[in-house]
Amino acid sequence: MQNTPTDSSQAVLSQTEKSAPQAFLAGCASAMGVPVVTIFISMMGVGGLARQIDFPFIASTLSTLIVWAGPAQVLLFGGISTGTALPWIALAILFSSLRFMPMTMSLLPYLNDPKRPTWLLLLAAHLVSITTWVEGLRHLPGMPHRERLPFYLGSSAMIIGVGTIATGVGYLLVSEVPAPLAAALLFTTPLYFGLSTLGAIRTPTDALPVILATILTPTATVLLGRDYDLIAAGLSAGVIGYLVDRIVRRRRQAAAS
Amino acid sequence: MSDMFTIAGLQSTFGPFWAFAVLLIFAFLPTEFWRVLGVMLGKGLNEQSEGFRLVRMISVGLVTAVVAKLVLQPSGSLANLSASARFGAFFAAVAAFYLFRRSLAAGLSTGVGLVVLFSIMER
Repeated sequence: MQNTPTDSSQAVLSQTEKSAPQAFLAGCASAMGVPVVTIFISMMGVGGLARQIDFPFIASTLSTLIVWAGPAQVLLFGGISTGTALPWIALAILFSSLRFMPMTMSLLPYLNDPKRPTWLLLLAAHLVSITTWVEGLRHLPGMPHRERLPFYLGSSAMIIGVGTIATGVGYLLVSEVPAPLAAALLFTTPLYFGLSTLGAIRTPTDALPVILATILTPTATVLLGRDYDLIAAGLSAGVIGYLVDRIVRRRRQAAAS
Repeated sequence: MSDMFTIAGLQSTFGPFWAFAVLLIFAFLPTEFWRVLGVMLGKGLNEQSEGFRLVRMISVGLVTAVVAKLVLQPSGSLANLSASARFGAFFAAVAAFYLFRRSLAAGLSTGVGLVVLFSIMER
């Protein structure tokens, strides 16, 4: 046997720690339920949108695997339908996708390891979406470091796989869906993102960027217009939230010492 | 050399693969750019650092702004629903989420159920 325990502490370790394939499968299993159901519903909506502009079926379905950013796919297909020039669509997608940089950065400490090759981290980064990120932040912190990357890859592979299938299903079924149900399908995406963000709040200062961005987004829409409101509101909510949190932590440290 | 910035141009250059060219150049590149940058800048971060706290706060701010935009500036069939119906359904869902001890299922079913109900009522 390759991993025969040599002492009692190692025996306990091999019982409680999962091997990489076991952690991958546990990740797959953890995504079954709310994450998979909501991604199915959201991506059906994107597939339906692609059908409405007569984008080819296979490319529409694989757009989820290739782009893996629901709002960006909506901008692409929606932009083509209104006749917007492709470079302008790409620019709008670039602005709206800034979140992937801080989201990837905030998952990396859980996934990184000096021995891990860069291509594996780039694959993990490609799988980052609001759904996989929320799932990652929920499960990874309480897990042994070695299990985190395979668990994350399993959970994300399940979510992107179901999302890709759902895009094709939505493409084929769009004409069958009655209007009130179609509205509910489109409402699922913001509702799931919003509730999972609230679910990740642990301390009162964690709630700050959520409250600030809720107030600042409509304000920025009025002041700056629909192209820049997302970046302006999201960035300033995050920076103000961080500064307030920093002051609170400093005060607490000063009071404790 | 045909025009690479229009669908017609891409169709004449890439033939049957034009749709993949559209996806790769105009949607994959502008999203993947940020992910690759995130890997390059995030390698030195650890869970306890100040930089980590900052990027996490910014992520939550940007995700919340995406949520706000999807509710405030809806597309497709959701745009037919009045703003008060969308806000009402959203805040009722948040209330149900907390009432049932942070239950995603309770929040989602409340919100989705109300949108179906309001869509039928407003037709």
